[in-house]
Amino acid sequence: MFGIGIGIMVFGYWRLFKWNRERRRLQIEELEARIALMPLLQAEHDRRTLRMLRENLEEEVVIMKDVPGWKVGESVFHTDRWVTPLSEELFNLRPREELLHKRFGFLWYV
Amino acid sequence: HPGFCLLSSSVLKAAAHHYGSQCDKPNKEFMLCRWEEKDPRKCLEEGRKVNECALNFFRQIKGNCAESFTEYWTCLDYSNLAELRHCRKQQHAFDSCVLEKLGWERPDLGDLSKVTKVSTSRPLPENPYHSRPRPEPNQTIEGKLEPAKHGSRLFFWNW
Repeated sequence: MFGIGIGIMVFGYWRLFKWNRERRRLQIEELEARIALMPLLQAEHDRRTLRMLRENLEEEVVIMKDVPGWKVGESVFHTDRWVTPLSEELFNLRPREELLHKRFGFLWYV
Repeated sequence: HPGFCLLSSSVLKAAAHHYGSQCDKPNKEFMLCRWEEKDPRKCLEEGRKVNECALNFFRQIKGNCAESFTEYWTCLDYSNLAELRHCRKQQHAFDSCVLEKLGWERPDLGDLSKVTKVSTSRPLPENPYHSRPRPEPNQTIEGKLEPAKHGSRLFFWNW
């Protein structure tokens, strides 16, 4: 009786390990799809960020025209390397809905 | 010629494996540029090439294997998480269509995640982090160094 029970358990374990390996292979396949698409998405994201920064700069020129001593597009940091802009900074002059989409759009839970 | 690929996620995921093997060269060059320079402004040219390759790729698919591709990505779109394992039949049909018409083979499992060496004509950037010049190292101490008499002074007061 014990033999039958243990036999069933061992068989169950074997099936479980096989299916786990198969799931691992499937997961690798899905991750590879992501790897393949990353350059496209990264390039488009970069272009979009740079475009938004450019538009913000032009708006800044218009808005701060009469403020004395304001250097347009001055970086708030002491370095001159690329600093990834914050979402708040990018979506500053757009409706708040867009910022919320960017920050929380992919959340599936509340 | 807008320059943006206006495609939804299941379309991209359906074509991802073939895209990874066909448009491999400009993709890898762009990623290498991005990771070395750490500045998106320096990699706009490579990004443009990536976009061109992607647009050509999708044009070729649309021209040759449109119906089977449409079936494949609609099947993927139907499932909640776009799992590839639910759509094997359509994937097979699409693969065979692409293989006979364009000669593209689907890369095997693990081929796209292999580490590759990319050769570019772009020189390696020096100081990509724009760090300030480092201070000089301490001078080497001349003369004979001996261990401390009566043991280390830090034995009891080692905080």
